[in-house]
Amino acid sequence: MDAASPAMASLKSGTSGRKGRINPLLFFYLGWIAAVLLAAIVGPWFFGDDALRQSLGQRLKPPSLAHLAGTDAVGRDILSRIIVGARPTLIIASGGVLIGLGLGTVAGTLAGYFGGFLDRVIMALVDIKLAFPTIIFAIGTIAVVGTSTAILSFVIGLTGWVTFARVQRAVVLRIKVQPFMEAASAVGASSTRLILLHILPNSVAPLLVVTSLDLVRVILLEASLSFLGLGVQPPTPSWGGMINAGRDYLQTAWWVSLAPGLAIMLTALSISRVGDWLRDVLDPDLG
Amino acid sequence: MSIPASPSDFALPLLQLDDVCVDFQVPKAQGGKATLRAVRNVSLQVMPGESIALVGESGCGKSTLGRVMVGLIEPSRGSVLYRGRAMNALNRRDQQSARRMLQMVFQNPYGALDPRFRIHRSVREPLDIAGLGSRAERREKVARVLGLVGLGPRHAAAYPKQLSGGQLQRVGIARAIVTSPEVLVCDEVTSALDVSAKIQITELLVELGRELNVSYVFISHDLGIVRQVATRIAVMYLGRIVELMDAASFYRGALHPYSRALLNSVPIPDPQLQRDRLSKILVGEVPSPTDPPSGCAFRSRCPLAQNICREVDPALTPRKGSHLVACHFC
Repeated sequence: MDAASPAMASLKSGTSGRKGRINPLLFFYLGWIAAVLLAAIVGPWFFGDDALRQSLGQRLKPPSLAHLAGTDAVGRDILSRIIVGARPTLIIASGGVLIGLGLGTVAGTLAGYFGGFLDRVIMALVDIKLAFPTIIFAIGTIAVVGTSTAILSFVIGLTGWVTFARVQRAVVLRIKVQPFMEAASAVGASSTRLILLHILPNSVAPLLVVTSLDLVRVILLEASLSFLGLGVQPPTPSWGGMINAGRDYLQTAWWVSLAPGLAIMLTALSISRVGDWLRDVLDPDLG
Repeated sequence: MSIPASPSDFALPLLQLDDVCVDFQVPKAQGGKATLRAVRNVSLQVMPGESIALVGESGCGKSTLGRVMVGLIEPSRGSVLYRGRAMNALNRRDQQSARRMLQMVFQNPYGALDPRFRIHRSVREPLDIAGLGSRAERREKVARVLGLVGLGPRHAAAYPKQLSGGQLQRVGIARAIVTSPEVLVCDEVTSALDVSAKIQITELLVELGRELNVSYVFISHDLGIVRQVATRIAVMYLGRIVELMDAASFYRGALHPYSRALLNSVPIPDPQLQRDRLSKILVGEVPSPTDPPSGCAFRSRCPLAQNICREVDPALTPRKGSHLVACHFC
């Protein structure tokens, strides 16, 4: 076919400078996330005893070779407690984010795709949720049903779905009018197919950004709840609870709160930066 | 009993539009809603093997009419018949298989493919949806169709952003013909392409039309392209067909003043002739389709308009042969 030959000639290269460049700090962030994951998985086997062993003679010791991050008010090794505390912190945070992501994506997709009455109902629920202070909601729920890892995840998830829902609704409204959606309808694609195969895969990049932001939010929320005594119950260590435990000694033993604070900050920062990077890698439109 | 002039006189139309209207509700500037009649009382038949061109200015309803033909838009009134059977009376299954026979190639090749689908997956999608053939058969069919439009395995594995506009439009065509349709609606398929790609895509479509025995509906405002591909031309103005005639005689024999104006708006590479014709080019804007003129929709811009045009909307009436014109004075 004569007309065809020029079309065979060229195939644009898909790689671009933007994806090729990797910030060296990214390796640090990835390394930190890996370390936290490792601590969450195997930490309790190695440091479980140290995290709970009290030693009144060693109370409130500053960082030293024996206790790299110092000791707390009852002489427990703070570094061990941070390592052991990674597991409950991460389980609650990731559980909460997954629940929020799931609920919010479904609600946002339905609202954006079908519109009309369903859209108004879902968006009304979003407004109600937004008008309700998160901490009050969490305190109220936990006061009624008690606290456990599962309950904490669920409560945190319920406080976070609205962000996902609003973002996903906006994304769906944008994708819905893309020509490829009409082209898919023209070849007979059903609503289910349009949503599952066309809308959701094209929503991954924006949802990923929200997920990484929300992970940061729920880690901080879990810390706040533990700080208020509503989160992980003692003696199990969690990062938020550890900051709370050091509150009384901020003037005299700053390290009790500092180390878990640093752990939260670094984890939040790493997740957010890695999330941004993943978005750039995954988003075909930016390539 | 007269003897039919050609075998196609025996043939039933593949697609028949009967008195089709399409209304859209659009928000008014002052609040409230207005009814926009995008297509008004259009009747048209697509016969096997022919190429109909729908021509007219933007907003004349030609794209809407094309979407009605492939089932993307339900007509507000009138009916669409595929091989003599009303589309909306068919059961789900028959309707789906009928719609497979009516496919569309879209205007914007850059947007018409899901950016996350590799090319072969986009081309395979119509087969996947229809559940036609085994996996291996579908794969083989996709490769064959991509070959027909001049693309190879390298393109099949690429993502849309890696291809040029012309290549993407070939993919759009491959996707439309993979279910072996009988009618292919091409909505301004060359308007987003550069000149060389325009020519190649036009040639490809002409060639495919011969090889695959498919009927075309070309939606276009480019009379130069239409000249190369169409066997019949329907001129649309504000949702109506105002003239319908053989493409061969259109360039000399078009009667409707709007058709004449369209022909005069095609630039010709002769400065003297071009200057003479400029005076005949249409002035003014298309009236708002939410508030069309009374009587003949074209009267507000028509050089021939008289009092009767204000009162009576002229019907499409036959002239010589199969030539139809909607005008009181020609």
